[in-house]
Amino acid sequence: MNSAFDQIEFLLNDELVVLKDVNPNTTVLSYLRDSAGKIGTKEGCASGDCGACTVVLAEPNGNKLRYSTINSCIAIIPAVNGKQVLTIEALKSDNRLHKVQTAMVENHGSQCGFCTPGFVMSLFALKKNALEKSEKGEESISANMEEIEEALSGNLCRCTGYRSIVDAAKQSLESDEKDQFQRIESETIQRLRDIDGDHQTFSPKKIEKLADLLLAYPKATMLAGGTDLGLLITQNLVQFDVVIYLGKVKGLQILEVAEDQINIGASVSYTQSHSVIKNEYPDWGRMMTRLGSLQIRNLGTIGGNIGNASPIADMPPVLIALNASITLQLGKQEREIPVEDYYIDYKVTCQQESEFIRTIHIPRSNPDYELKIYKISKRFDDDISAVLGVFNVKLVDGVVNDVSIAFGGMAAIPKRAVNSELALKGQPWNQETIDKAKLALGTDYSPLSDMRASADYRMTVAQNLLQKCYLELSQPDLNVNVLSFEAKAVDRDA
Amino acid sequence: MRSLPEINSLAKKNPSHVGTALAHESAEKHVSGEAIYVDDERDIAGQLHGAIGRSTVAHGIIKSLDLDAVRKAEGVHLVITAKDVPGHIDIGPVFPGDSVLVESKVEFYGQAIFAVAADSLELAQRAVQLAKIEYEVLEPILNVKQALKQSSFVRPVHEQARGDAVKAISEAANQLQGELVVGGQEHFYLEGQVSRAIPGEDGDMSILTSSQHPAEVQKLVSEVLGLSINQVTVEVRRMGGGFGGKETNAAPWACVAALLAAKQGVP
Repeated sequence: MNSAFDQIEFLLNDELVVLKDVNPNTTVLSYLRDSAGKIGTKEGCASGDCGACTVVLAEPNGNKLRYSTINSCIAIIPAVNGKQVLTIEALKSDNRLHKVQTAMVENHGSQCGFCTPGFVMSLFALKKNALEKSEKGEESISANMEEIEEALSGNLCRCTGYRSIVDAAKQSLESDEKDQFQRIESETIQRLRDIDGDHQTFSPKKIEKLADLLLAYPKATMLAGGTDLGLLITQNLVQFDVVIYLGKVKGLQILEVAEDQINIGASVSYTQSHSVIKNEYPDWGRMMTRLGSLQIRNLGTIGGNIGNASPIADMPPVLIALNASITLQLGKQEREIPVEDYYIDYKVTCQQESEFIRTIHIPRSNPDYELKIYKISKRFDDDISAVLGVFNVKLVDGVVNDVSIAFGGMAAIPKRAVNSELALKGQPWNQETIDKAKLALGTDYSPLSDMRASADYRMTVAQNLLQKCYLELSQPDLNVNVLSFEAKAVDRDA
Repeated sequence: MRSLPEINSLAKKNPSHVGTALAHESAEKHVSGEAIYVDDERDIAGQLHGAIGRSTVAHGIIKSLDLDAVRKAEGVHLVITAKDVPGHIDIGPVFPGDSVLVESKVEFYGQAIFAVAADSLELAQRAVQLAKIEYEVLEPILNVKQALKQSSFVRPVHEQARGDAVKAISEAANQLQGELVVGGQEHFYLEGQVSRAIPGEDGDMSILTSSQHPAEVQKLVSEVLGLSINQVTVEVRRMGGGFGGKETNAAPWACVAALLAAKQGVP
């Protein structure tokens, strides 16, 4: 039997919900549809891909609310503890449609209508965030195309096509008149702050409490964003016994740029850490906008991406190539290890029972090095990598002074290309050297064939990515990077 | 019939409608989440939820089918196999050859073998996993070349020709050759396949489904249950996408729901 999560409290639209002895394996979507009767939110793929189940979480952020979209189908109920869950039912007020709803109607943004509530919630979050930026004076209310595309990247529509929905997004961003949520914003913040978490055993606030809890329950499952855990529950019908929610642990929420390194707490979401990473490592920042969808990035964490130990995770190869490290904590004991040493075998790590990832330490960018990251996936947005290649290269006078290369999707663990690095180090940066290093990749990896790619394809593409890295660094004017938004737009117009 | 409106009356009354875009009649319901799809219907008292046990091999003969653990699983009320079909087993919509539940020979991976009705969808899905099925595994045919080699055709060969293509090509000044592979994909509708069957009086059955072809659902449900067509009512309020994938393939789900509902006497 499941040991129940003792208590979960949250606002569902404007109503306070207190759930006692909850099965922590309940998804937010099944709670909404089957228990709360909120059937406006739809189940499409049940695996966090299609966005039909999108709902919005509101959390206090200073004296404002921060709105973010999530996939309710794979979010499990402990993850909404202390937050406000906004569903499509909350958007109408006084029987009148919200501006984003009107915009969808007027721009013909729905046909079969099944994906529509999810799109509307994504547009709603986009509008709320754009409004906040404009209030802060950061920019005008109108979002640019890049922001609109990002906001909609996690919602799929088959009938209507996206043009009319993008038009609806543009129209909905034209006005900055207040909506019902702004009028009671400070009241909502107070209500969320009043939710007292002290008697919630499985959602600790202090890191010491988390450490003790893990000693008491060594087999407990740690829940950060839950974007992988949720899939195990909905797709593999796995049930977890004890679930400990990390999202309220203050010590895991740090996000700081120190003199020599960036420190990111294990439960900081991708979206939050992106704000820091994109400034330090632009290529990494661009890659992160292609990791899952916005809904996934709003929940998922770098800590979880490391700890889940998937061979196709996107963060570990970057962290390995940058020589990043992590601090692990067991009881009161802390130890710092390179990310590279964390992985032992397929889904096996050196993390011990009761131990948890506390902080990720990323070196500051070094102007002598060039970091190149390439994500290869079938779809541009919202897809899992077949291969992810990371090259961190230091060239001095046309010679490879230092290089580290790491790949995801090429082995049972995220792994460095040691032989290829050896073939490059100390050698002139020319085609001959690259050809040798490409051959060496064949000895570094023996990839698998699966539904994402064949072994041959993976090896060929890995070698071609090294070639691409060479071309980009030796001929900076060559436009071989389609990651930039401008290139994307050109590609789509063509 | 005299009260029928003229087809062009709208345009005549208000010529400005012509060429103007009008909002979808359900648009306001779509954007507010108020449009009701099959899965959004509230449960009726006593309603059970179905799940289908599927083949885990692509091609084979079922040697033994042990469903004891499935029947004993938490929340399970009913388990049915092909033996429980009172009427036709074949529900091929245009040509025969599709069994509602496999009798002995599995012809594709994921083919429906048995169905479970339980207190919730989750319990039904869990119960399905407990089946013990042994197969005599046969070699599957996975591509066109292999099928041609083994002369394995879905339908009799149909040839459509004009002139003498072989001769024309051999005499042509230029010849190109190549191969084209079309990667077929399942239709992607956001709303999955879904049906609800409600038993009525005199063995009648009422079906709420997401189908592009309700009349065919009506015919096939009446056939598997051994009813006359007028005993089956089919309602389609709206679909969350279909794209042809719910033209014929919505029917098996409706048939299974109807078989479970008829046998158990509850929706």
